[in-house]
Amino acid sequence: MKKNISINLFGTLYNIDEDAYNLLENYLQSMQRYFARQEGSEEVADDIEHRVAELLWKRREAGMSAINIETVKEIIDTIGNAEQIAGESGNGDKYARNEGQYARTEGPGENRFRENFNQLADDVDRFARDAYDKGRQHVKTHRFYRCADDKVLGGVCSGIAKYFNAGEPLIWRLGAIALTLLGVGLPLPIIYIVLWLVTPAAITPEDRLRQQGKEITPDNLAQQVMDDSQPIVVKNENKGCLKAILIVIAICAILPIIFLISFWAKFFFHMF
Amino acid sequence: MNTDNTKSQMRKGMLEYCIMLLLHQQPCYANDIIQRLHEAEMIVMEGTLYPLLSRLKKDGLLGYEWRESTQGPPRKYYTLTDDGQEALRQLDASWEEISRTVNFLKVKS
Repeated sequence: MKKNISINLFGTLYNIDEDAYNLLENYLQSMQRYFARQEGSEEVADDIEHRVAELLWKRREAGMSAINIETVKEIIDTIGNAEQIAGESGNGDKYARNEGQYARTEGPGENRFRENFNQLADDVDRFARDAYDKGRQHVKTHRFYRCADDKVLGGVCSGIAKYFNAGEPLIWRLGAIALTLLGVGLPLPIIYIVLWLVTPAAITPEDRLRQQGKEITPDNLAQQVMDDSQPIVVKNENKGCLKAILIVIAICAILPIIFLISFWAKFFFHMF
Repeated sequence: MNTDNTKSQMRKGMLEYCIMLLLHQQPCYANDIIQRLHEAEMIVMEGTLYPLLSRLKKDGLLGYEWRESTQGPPRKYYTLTDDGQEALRQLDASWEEISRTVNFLKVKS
């Protein structure tokens, strides 16, 4: 049994399963994000929405009573997702891979950082692609993101845990704290802050797939959309305390490092 | 040798010309274009068509008008503008050249 909602597409009402709706909405949104950035292509997302409406209409005429997720997957397969379209039309490859990232704003400074980072990541991607034709898919789809929905500070630790598919974020967090306190990982807070600044957070389901190194296909996307719509139990009460401890550690760690750097700078200055 | 890239480059270059040829005969909306291309066995991912149409429109080669449809949502019918007709003539000529070259080399080798 599935929950069913009704949607209005250009004046026609359709009944659609909830998971199918999530997938379809996500698809149309990703098209909108992608084409909104390309000058003169604002209409394209609208054209595609019309096409979706038309394909749904045809299926209804053929006797379909409610739209299920299989139907939506079929439609996405016929039209293609943003990455595929960009790959075929050949002019927006780079934009497609960063789909959604440019559109996000968390602060002007951070955004500039991010664009530079994306530029660099693209160059690396391209180089790697030329070098390893076979491994192209891997380089293209596996990227590091912060976890926006499971974070204490910036979601870097849970991002690492997700990227390497290795263990609970909590273990990474405690490990980072322990290393810092032991003195071995003194630069960790700085590395953390840099990663926080230069990497994007995984927001769209496409991001989450790339974060895990999965290919962006309608099937995977559908699975991801369904996983995302599961209610997440957030244990917030402990996070406030952990956050305070982390900030104190970060400050304690950064001060001696700044001191050390200035000391070394002075040392070198005297030597030359 | 991996010929996929070359093939897709060839297709890309052709697609624009093919669409203009289609529109030269009669105004079409996206579904007509997709179907005609399909009949002509030109395989293309539907989604790539829309950015292409939008670009041709921006360049002034195509125009469109909305028409209500009794079957589904309103449709955007594309037509070739005068500039588009002129561009098509040029593409015709250059296609002639290309096919002459290819045929010539095929026979020789």
